[in-house]
Order: sequence, then structure tokens, then C-alpha cells
Amino acid sequence: MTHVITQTCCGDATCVAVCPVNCIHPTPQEPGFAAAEMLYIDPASCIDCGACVDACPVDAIYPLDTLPGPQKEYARINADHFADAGTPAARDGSPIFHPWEEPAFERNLPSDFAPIRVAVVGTGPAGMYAAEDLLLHTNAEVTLIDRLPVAGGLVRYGVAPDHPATKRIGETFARFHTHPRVRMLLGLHVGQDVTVDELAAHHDAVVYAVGASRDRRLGIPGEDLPGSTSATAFVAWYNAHPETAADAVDLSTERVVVVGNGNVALDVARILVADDGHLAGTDIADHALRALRGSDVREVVLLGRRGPEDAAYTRSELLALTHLPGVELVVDDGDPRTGAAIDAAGPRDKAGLLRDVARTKVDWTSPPPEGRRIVFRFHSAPVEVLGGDAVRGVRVTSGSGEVEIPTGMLLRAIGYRGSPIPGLPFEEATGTVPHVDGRVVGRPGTYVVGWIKRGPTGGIGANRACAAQTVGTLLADAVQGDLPAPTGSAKAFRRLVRHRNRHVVDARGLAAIERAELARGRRSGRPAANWPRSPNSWPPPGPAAASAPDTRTGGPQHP
Amino acid sequence: MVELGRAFKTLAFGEAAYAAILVAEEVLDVMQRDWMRDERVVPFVRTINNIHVVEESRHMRFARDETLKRLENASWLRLQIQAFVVAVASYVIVTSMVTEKVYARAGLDVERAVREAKANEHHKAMLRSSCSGLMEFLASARLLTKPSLRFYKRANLI
Ligand SMILES: Cc1cc2nc3c(=O)[nH]c(=O)nc-3n(C[C@H](O)[C@H](O)[C@H](O)COP(=O)(O)OP(=O)(O)OC[C@H]3O[C@@H](n4cnc5c(N)ncnc54)[C@H](O)[C@@H]3O)c2cc1C
Ligand SMILES: NC(=O)c1ccc[n+]([C@@H]2O[C@H](COP(=O)([O-])OP(=O)(O)OC[C@H]3O[C@@H](n4cnc5c(N)ncnc54)[C@H](OP(=O)(O)O)[C@@H]3O)[C@@H](O)[C@H]2O)c1
Ligand code: SF4
Ligand code: SF4
Repeated sequence: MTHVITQTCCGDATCVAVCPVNCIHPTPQEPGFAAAEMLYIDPASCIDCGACVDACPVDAIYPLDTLPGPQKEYARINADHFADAGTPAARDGSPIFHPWEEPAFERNLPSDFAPIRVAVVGTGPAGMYAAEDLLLHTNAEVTLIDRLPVAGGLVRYGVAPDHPATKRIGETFARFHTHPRVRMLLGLHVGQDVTVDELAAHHDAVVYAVGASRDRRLGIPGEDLPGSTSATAFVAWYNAHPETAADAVDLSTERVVVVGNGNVALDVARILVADDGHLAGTDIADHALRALRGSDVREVVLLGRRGPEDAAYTRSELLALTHLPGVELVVDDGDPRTGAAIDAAGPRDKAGLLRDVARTKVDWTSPPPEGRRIVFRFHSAPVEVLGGDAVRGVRVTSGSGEVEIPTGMLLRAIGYRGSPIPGLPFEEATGTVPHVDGRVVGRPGTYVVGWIKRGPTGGIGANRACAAQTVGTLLADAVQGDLPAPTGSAKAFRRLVRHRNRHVVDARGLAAIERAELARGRRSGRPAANWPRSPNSWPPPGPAAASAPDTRTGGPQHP
Repeated sequence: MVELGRAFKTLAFGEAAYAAILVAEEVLDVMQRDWMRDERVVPFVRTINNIHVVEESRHMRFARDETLKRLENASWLRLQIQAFVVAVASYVIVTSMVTEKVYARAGLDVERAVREAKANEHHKAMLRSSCSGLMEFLASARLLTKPSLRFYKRANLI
């Protein structure tokens, strides 16, 4: 038998380090790693020890014979990877049974390395991988800061609620919230409550892991009509982000047009047509669940400006879409290039993923048919959003001229965008902070990691290698003596923070919030009910925190 | 070791024994992985290490499963006791047994090596990062209680 890696794999390579026979590939040392959407287990070498199952933070690995229904095809997908790449073999005459690379000792701290004080700004995956790296490899003291009162970044406010296994990686990160050398300050906005310079003055080094929280714009007429919004806002809405209003979304339209076909576009499409009974079993925001129950949406159209061979979604997320109960998947066959690309695709080519998906020439002048469906339309970009005081339709390009698609809602899922932090350099074109190997240009002792460093692409696991690079640079600078010495003590920093913001939540406060959420979820028969709370409406940590939620947002309104 | 064994008999229920085995095996596992891949190590030692790594992967899974199973319905008090016993056991294992053997095997003067290692930040970093999987497991088994953390910290496991 063998073990099999499935849909939720985020490519963090935790499993690689525990496999006793090195049969999980590509490993971080192998050339294909950076571009790999997921990792694969070689069925020819796996000895079914199960070590990887215990190690995987998102429960992506199963023994072959216990693969749940929709994941069964991953047996073939794992095997195919090695059919293409070949099973690596140990060299002849090697004293060991499996091919291994030489051990790599990347970090070589001097034996008298003095403890440093590092601030990590942002508690998303990038910040937490950086904190973990620092805590495991040095005796550093870490100040963990986030502007929101709840930690997690996009793991909490981005990852879709119907991806509970992926969200579970939050538990792995949370282990470091209470680490003895960590001090957590949530609800503290760097750039507003404290400045970049103040933070630097009280730490040996500062790592910015602030992500990319804004959205990109299409720059077409009508983009700001009511009913036209970003996937960023929509995602924040269903994940109960504290800065989105509960009534921000109106679902009284039969068709939604989504621009872009990346994984975020797939996430929003899935949530829009998902069975509300299924969503009720997730930690989706109460207000979103209520709105989706009363939703008129039957059809979601995903516009790709290029062909199916260049679709931005990953294979695993597309495959998951084909298994959505009660939802039909359709490719719009209006443009002959689309069908041609799918037919010409090899079995492992991107376009080939749509081979078994129904194709129809969609008639955009009539309303969507009965039942729920997702339509992929390729070679089609939006030109203008139509409507007087609200979105009525969208004019898009096609192989022959332009067509009008009637819709009441346009979601642009064309990517996230970083925003500048006052006091740090910023590159407008990419929405990132300029850096060399993670060191911010022109600011010694200042570093970046994650989406604010690389731009808004890559899954959770990609931030691990990214953090290793940044922390490596930071430690090299520390060893070189290149870190500017802090002028203020840890105590002085605490005093400053208290002075600036009295609502800061610490690790205990966060634990109280999480307990309250679980309790609230239990009362309504759901795993955990998130509710939006603005940083300033949240009470300071203490016993009050656990009982506050119900009164704050008008109480849970579960039907 | 004898005292530890005796303390075990009186204090430990099964889960602590499994968890302690786990600690020892995890620490050894990480080192053996490095040695078996290291071309500077004599071939027959590499082969033995390789055999151990493969064998231990199954033992460790078993020990993890058993620990979790036995702790599943443990009361608060029992959990506290177990956490404490496992922490003390880990401390003893990591600070004495393993490291000294390692130096002896590497052909070093044990006493001096131990003294230097105690103060060596690089060594501490290696311990912490090698044992991160173990600590992750102990955390998920709720075995990282406040009092036990002091021992892990002193043993440079956290
Ligand atoms: C909708 C969506 C769904 C996704 N789903 C998946 C998935 O299922 N699987 C997967 O592998 N990947 C997924 N990803 C990708 C993954 O979320 C990202 O790779 C990852 O979150 C990027 O990490 P980050 O730490 O750079 O940013 P973030 O996760 O955004 O974290 C940034 C943190 O910084 C804080 N911050 C920002 N500014 C400040 C400031 N001035 N002061 C203090 N704190 C500040 C923010 O509050 C936030 O907590 C998804 C992404 C999106 C957008
Ligand atoms: N594993 C998961 O479940 C999951 C879930 C969500 C997100 N993520 C990850 O998070 C990252 C971000 O995802 P994302 O979907 O935001 O970004 P993305 O993958 O980069 O997709 C952006 C999409 O928008 C299109 N686009 C960009 N500008 C456009 C324009 N001006 N007009 C029309 N179309 C335009 C792109 O088309 P072109 O390709 O033609 O540029 C592409 O289809 C990705 O790495 C993704 O894998 C993972
Ligand atoms: S998520 Fe990480 S640990 Fe799990 S299978 Fe993928 S690479 Fe391995
Ligand atoms: S079950 Fe064991 S041998 Fe198989 S991939 Fe996982 S860790 Fe490797």
C-alpha cells in the first residue's frame, strides 16, 4: 500500500522532514519545489509508517485505503508525478537504502550568540513562520504584533470556511503565541499606534509580515457602481473580518460575474453556490450564512482573460469544484479557441483539467437555467460595468466583438495588493516593500517576509521558505554586528504601547476570545461562530472578554 | 537512570512511559538522520542508522498513538502529573543520556564536550529545532503545562 497527499496540501514540506525513506517529493532542496503546487508520495517507496500523517498541519495525508471519496483520484495524481519524474534510487554501493541529499546545516550561529529582541509585525503565515524560525534557531525574544485583535492573518480571514483542514494550520502557529519568549500585542496598528521608528528604537530588528490586504482595480468605467466589489471585500465579509459590515453584500441577483480564475475566484464562486446546509457546519460568519440562505444566485461566471491553458487556479482546487454536490460545472464554448485548447491538452496539462467538464455555448440573453452552476468563460475580459445606479450587466470581450452579460453583481478576483507602511519604502508597481533577500533597502535592522515581500501569490507553505530566507539574512546581519542597537528597553516599549492603545489584547486575551467563540458555536450547533469585532470595540483582556460577545453585535441570530 | 526508573514506577502511568520513549527516540532519530546522510560517517554506521530511522518511524507512531489514546479522557490532575513526569523524563534524557553518547560516538572528550555544549548557542539551537516536531506533538497532547515548560526551557527544547 502507500500513503497519499490530497487536496489541502499547502506545500510547507513538514512531512518531508519526518519521512524515514525520503519518498515525498519534490523536497525543498530539489529544483521543482518552488513551482510545485503540492507535494507527492512515491507509492513505490512508501513504507506506510504514517509519520507524515502525524506531522501534516492540514491533515492532507491519508493511507490509500482510507481516502475519502472525492480524494480518491489523488492516488493516481501522486503516482503520476513519479511516472513522469521517475522514482529516485539510491546510488549503487551506497550504504543507505534510499536516496538522500547530504544533510544541510543552514544556520551556523556562533556559540556565544547574544539574545536579540525582534518584533514581528503580522501574525499571518509569514509572520508566524518567521517567529517560529527565530524561536527555534535562536534565543531571541519575540514581540508578535497584529493590528487586528485576533491573530492568524489570512488563515483566519482569507481561507474559505469550507476548508476547515487548511484552517487547522492555525493551531500549529498558535503554539508559538504562548511561547515563553513571545510577547503578543494584538490590536496594535504599526504606522498608527506606534511608528516604524519607535518600533525599531525598541528592538534589535523588526520583521514586517503585513501581507497584502487591499484589492487591485480593473480601471474600467462603472467599476464603482453599487454591486461591483472586490473578492477581497467579499472574502472578508464571509469570514467575519472586523472591518466589513454585515450587510455589505446583496445577493438578490441570479447571476454573479467574477473576474479572474485564480483560487480566490474559485473560493468565492464555491461559497456563492454552495449548499447552505453544508456551510452551516463551518465557521462562516453568521451574517453571511443568513444572506446565503436567502440568496437568489444560481450561476457564477468566471472570466479568464486568457485561455484554459493559462488558468490561474491550481489543479487541486479545480478538481474539488468538480465534486461540489448539486453544482454543475460548465465551460462556455462560445470561443472556438477554448475547446481547441482543452482537446489538444495532454493529460497533465492545465487545460486538460477541463476535459470532462460539459461544454455549452451559453446564451447570455436569457436568464441562467434552473439549478446551480459555475461557468468558466475564457479569452474574455471586462470592458465596462453597465448600469445607472447599480450594476445591471458587464460588457466583456469575446473572440468576435463584445458581448453583454446581464448580472447584478461583479466581483473582481484579480489579486490582492500590499499597502504602504508609513516610514518604509514602497514600490507602487508591485505593491511590495523593496528588499534584498528580505532586508529592506536603506533601513538596516528592518526586514520583510510573505506577501508584502514577494507580492500576493503562493499558498501558505510558500511563506515558510520565504521566512527562512529572511531570518537567515537577519541572523547573518546580527552575527556581522550590522543591527543598529536599540535605544529603548523592552519595558519602555511596553509602557509606550500601554500609553498609545489601551485595548491591546495579549495571549491570554486571545485565548478568552477563542473560548467565547467555541462556546457561542456550541450553543448554535456550529464548530465555532466567528463574529466581527472592531479593534476598538473589543474589551481589554480579562474575565469580561469571555462573556462580552453576545451583547456586542446584537447577539447571535441563528434561525 | 535507576532512580529515574524507580520514579517512573511510582509516578508514571502508561502514557508517560510512552511519551518518554518518544522523547528519546525523537532525539536519536534526528541525529541518526544526519549521520546516515553524512558521507564523512563510516558506511556501516550509516547503514545501522538508516535501519534505525526506518524502524523507529513505526515505533514513534505507535508511541504517539498510545499517548494520545491514554490521555484522551484523563482528568485535569492526571494530565498535570503526566505532563510533569514527561517533562522531567525529557530533561534527564536530553541533558545526560543522549548528548554524552553522542560525543563519545563522535570520539570527543565527553566531559569537555558537555561543558562547552551547555553554553553553546549553536548547540541549543540544534536541539530546539530538531525537537520541534516532538514539542508540537506534546503541545497537541496538552502536555506542555506551565510547570513542565520550565523543564523544556532548561533542556533547551523550547
Ligand atoms: C482568500 C484567500 C484564500 C486563501 N486560501 C488558501 C488556502 O486554502 N491554502 C493555502 O495554502 N493558501 C491560501 N491562501 C494564501 C495564503 O493565505 C497566503 O499565502 C498567506 O496568508 C500570506 O501570508 P502573509 O503572512 O504574508 O499575509 P497575511 O496572512 O495577510 O498576514 C498579514 C497580517 O499582518 C497584519 N497587519 C497588516 N498591517 C499591519 C500593521 N500596520 N500593523 C500590524 N499588523 C498589521 C494583518 O492584520 C495580518 O494579520 C489564500 C489567500 C487568500 C487571499
Ligand atoms: N489553495 C487554496 O485553496 C488557495 C485559495 C485562495 C488563494 N490561494 C493562493 O493565493 C494566491 C492569490 O490568489 P488570487 O486568486 O488572488 O490570485 P491569482 O492566482 O494571481 O489570480 C488572479 C486572476 O486574476 C486575473 N487578472 C489579473 N488582473 C486582471 C485584469 N486586469 N483583468 C482581468 N483579469 C485579471 C489573472 O489573470 P492572468 O492569469 O491572465 O493574469 C488571474 O486569473 C495564489 O497563489 C493562490 O494559489 C490558494
Ligand atoms: S501540507 Fe505540508 S506536511 Fe501536509 S502534505 Fe503538504 S507539504 Fe506535506
Ligand atoms: S507513510 Fe511513512 S514512508 Fe510513507 S510517505 Fe509517509 S512518512 Fe514516508
